[in-house]
Amino acid sequence: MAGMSRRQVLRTGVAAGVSAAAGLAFPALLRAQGKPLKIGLLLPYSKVYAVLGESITNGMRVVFEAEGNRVAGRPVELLREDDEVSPPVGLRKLRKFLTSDQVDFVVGPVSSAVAAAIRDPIHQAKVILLNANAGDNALTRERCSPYIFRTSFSNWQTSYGLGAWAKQHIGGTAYLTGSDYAAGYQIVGAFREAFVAAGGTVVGESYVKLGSTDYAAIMAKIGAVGPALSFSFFAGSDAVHFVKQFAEFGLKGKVRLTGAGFLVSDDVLESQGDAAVGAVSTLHYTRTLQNPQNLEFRKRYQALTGKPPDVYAVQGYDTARVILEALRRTGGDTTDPERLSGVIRGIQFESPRGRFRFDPATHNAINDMYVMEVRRGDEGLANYVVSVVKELKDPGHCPNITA
Amino acid sequence: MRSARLAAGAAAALFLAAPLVLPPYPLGLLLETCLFALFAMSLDLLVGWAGLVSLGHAAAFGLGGYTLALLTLHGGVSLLPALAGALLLAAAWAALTGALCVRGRGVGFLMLTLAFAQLLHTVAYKWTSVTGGSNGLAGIPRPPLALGPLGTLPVQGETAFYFVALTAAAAGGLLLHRVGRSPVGHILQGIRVNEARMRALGYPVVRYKVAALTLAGALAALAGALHAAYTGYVSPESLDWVSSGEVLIMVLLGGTGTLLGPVVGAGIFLFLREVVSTLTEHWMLYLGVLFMACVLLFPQGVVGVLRGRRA
Repeated sequence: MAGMSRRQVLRTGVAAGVSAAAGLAFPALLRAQGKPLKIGLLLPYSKVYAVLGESITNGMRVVFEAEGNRVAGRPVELLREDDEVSPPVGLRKLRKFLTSDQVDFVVGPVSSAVAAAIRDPIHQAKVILLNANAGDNALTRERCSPYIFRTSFSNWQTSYGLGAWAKQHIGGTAYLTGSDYAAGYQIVGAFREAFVAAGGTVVGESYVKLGSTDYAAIMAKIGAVGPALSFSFFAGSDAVHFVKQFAEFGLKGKVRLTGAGFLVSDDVLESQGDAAVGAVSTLHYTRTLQNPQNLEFRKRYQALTGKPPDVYAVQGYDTARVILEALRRTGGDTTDPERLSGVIRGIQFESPRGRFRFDPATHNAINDMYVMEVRRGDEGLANYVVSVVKELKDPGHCPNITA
Repeated sequence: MRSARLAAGAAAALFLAAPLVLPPYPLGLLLETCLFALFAMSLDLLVGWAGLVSLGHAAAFGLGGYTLALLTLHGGVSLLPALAGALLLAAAWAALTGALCVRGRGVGFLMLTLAFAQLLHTVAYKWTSVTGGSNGLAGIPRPPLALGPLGTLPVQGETAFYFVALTAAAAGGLLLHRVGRSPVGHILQGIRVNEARMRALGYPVVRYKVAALTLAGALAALAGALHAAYTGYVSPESLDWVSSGEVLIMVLLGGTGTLLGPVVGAGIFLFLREVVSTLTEHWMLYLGVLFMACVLLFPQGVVGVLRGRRA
C-alpha cells in the first residue's frame, strides 16, 4: 500500500467491498465483466522505430473506437510503454505490465531483439503476447510458446515467395544485399533458398551496416557483375538511400531492382520518388489492395489520423481484431491462459490484408504475399499487385505447441 | 561522523526491509539500482580517484554478462563459479587494454577506452554463432548459489536474488571504500591532482592506473554478470558506448570521488527514467532539462554538494 493516498485506500476498500458483495450475488462470469480490459502496448514511441509504434497503436484504436472502447462489456484500456527499441528497457517495462499493471494482453514489440529478451518472462508468466511486428524466424520456431502469437510476419515469409517469381519473370542471376543484422540474413537467406530452388544463380552477396548512407561500393560491385536482378533487404532511411543511389549509379534499367516489401513500402516511397518506379517486392499488405475491408479500413484510419495506413497499421488493426474476437468467444473472460490460447488459435476473419488466420502449429500468421510493382497509377506513386502467393505459411517447426 | 553512521545504518535497514514492503515491480527496480550502483561505484574509482575518465567502462559490464551467459547456458555451472569466471575474464581484459589505454591522457585516454569497448561491441554483434548477434543471448538461467559444504541456496525468486544483488553491491562498495582510504587510494588521488609530481616522487604511476582499471573492471563485470542472470538476457547494447555514457552520467549526477554519490546517482537516474518515461514519450527532453538543472545547482554532484554544506 506504499505510496497510496488515504482517498485511494478508501476507494480501493469500497471497491473491494462492493465487488465482494457482487460476488455473492452474481456468477463469476458477470463479475469479470465491467473490469477494465488492460492491454499493455510494448512498442517504440521514440527513436528510429517511433513511426511503427504509432502506426500499430493507431491501427488498434480504429478497431476499439468502432466498438465504443468496450469489448464484451469490458472497457478497453490501452497502456503505452516506450521500449526505446532496447532489450533491457523492454524487459523493465514488461515487468511493470506483468506485476504492477497486471495486463490481460501484451502487444508488441517492433524489434526482434526486444522480442528475444521478453520471450522467457512471457512464457513463464503465461500472459498472451500478440507480436505485432518482430519478424525473427525463431520466435515462432525453436523459441515459440503456446502464449505467443504473431499477427505480422516471419522474416522468411517476406521474401521466400518472391524467389520463384523473380526467376520466372525477371531472370536467372541475382545479386543479394541486406542490412547487416539478424533480419537481413534471414530475409536474404529465404529469397536465396527459393531462388536457387527455382534454378536461379546467386552471383554475389554483400551486407551493409544498419544506418549507412553511402552504398557506392555495392553499386560498383553490382554494376561489374551485371546480374538480371538485385534483391535487397533495407528498411527506413537505408531503403531511401539505397534505392536512390541505385538509380543515380545508372543501374536502373539494366538491373531489375527487387526486395522484401520494406524496400519500397509506403513509408519510404514518397522520398524515393521516381527512383523506385519499376521495383518489384513482396509484402502482406499495400494500401492499394481493393478488397472491401481495406477500403473501409483506409477510410476509418484516414479519419482517425489524417494519414493513409501502412503495413504496420494493418498489423495493429488485426492484432486488435484478434483480441476482440477472443473476448467475444470467451464472454470477456481472460483469466485462463490455456483456454485463451486455444481460442485465439482458431480465430479467422477477413482483414484489410486478405484472409487472416494463424497457423495452429506455430502461432504465426498465414499470409497471402503480394508480389507488387511500383508504378504511378490511379493512387499515385504506389505498389500495385501483379501476382499473389497464396497462403504462405512459415515452414518452421514449434516443439512447444501441440496443435 | 555520528550522524553519518546513523544515516548509513538507516539506509542499510531500509534496503534490508525493502522486500517486506515493496511490491515486485518497484523491488525489481531497486534490485537493478543495486547493480547499477555497483557499476557506477566502480567507475567512481577511476573518475573520482585516479582521474581516469573512461568512455568504455560498459565493456567490462557487458563482458561479465556475456561470460556468465555462456558459462551457464553451455557449461551448466552454478552462480559462484560463473561470477568468478566473469570477474577474472573482465579483469584480464581491463588489465590488458588498460595497459595500452593509459599511454594516452585526457581525451586520448577517453578515445582509447571508447575504441576498445567498441571493438568488443563489434565482436558481440558479429560473432552470431556464439553471441547471438544483434538478438543477443536469451534464456540465461538464474543458477543456484552453491556454497560448498553449506549446501545450495536457490536464488530463483525475486526476493532471494535481490539479496544477492544487495550483498554484491554492499561488498563491492565496502571494498572500494577501503581501497579509497588506503595508501593506494591516496596515491591514486595524487595521480589525479598532479601526475608529474607523483612520477617525480618515484611512484610507478602507470602500474597504479592499470591496477585501478583492473579492480574497477572486475567489479563492473560482477554487476554485469548479475544483471544478465537477473534479466535472463544479454545483448550487444550492454557493451555499447551509450551504456558507458549512462553510467558516467550516474557518477557525475551523484558526485565523483564520494562512492555514495554514484549510488544516489544510479537511483535518481533509473527512477526518473522509469517514472517519467511512463508519463510521456518526450521523457528524454525532461530528463535532459533535469540533468542541466543538476549540473547548475549541484556542480559537484548531489552528494558532493550536501557534504560540502555540512562541512
